[in-house]
Amino acid sequence: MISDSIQKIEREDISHEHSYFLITFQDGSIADERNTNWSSFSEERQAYMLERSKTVVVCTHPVKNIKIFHNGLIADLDVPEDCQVYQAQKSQAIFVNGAVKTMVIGRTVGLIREDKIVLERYLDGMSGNVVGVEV
Amino acid sequence: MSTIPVIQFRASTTPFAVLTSVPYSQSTPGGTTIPVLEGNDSDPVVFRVYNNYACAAGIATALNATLASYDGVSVHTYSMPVASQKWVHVLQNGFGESKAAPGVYTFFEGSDTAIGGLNTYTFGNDSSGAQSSQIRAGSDGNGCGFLEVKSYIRVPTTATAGVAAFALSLLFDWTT
Repeated sequence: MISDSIQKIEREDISHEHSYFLITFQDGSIADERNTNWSSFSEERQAYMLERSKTVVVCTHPVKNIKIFHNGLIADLDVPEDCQVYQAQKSQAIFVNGAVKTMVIGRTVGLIREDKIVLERYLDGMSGNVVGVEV
Repeated sequence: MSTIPVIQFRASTTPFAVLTSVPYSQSTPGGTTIPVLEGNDSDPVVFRVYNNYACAAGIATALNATLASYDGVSVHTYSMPVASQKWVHVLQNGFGESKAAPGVYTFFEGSDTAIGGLNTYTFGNDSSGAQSSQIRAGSDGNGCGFLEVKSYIRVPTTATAGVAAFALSLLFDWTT
């Protein structure tokens, strides 16, 4: 099974209790960010949407479904066979009053087809909304 | 394993100290430093945005990094003058990374951009010099990387005297 080939880890912090991915591969096996790192089965790629490029970290295994969770918000995507999936946490390092405070403010998931982003969902932890775009 | 990028705003010259503020002011012809007057630009301030200056192990790359200006902490509002009127101007002034801090500097000049709210600044070269907007923690997640920024404020002629609050923010993506 695909998930058997992916390194499992023990997390010491609780930051992923309310913000994590849950990915189901084509063979039905599952990887969960609460004991797995995305970097264990992904690679960086340049992808394009509406003539803008961004770096995405794409899963290198065939995927059936991906769910992302962030502070009560959820996005649930079934992945077509001709698409690859990426996800990432969105963070902000804000410099004010003499200090820098870094926090996770949301999470993104998307589908790419031949380096073109065809769908993206963003769980916005600041507004409490799920927003997105589909091309 | 990759943990969240460790972002710091530091001086661009030795000893590359952590900044507690970005001091915008202007100099008179006589060399006196004064607050920035309405209708004037401040003197430029150069600073670096580092990822993992301490060169800890297993630190993620800050992907798709953009500089933004908002009203304050924990908000993405831009109703106050500095953010809403886009007083803050930034442009990339260089990049670098290394296995040991402070990293090896290379000059790169970006485009002068007024930031505030939805107007954000995307870097032209990443910390390695490639064409992307990201700050790596060295080449393997165990070093440090930085983007150097030149910044100034352009105060409108309609500005009123006083202290104008705002926050500088680096937005980025990362994965575990």
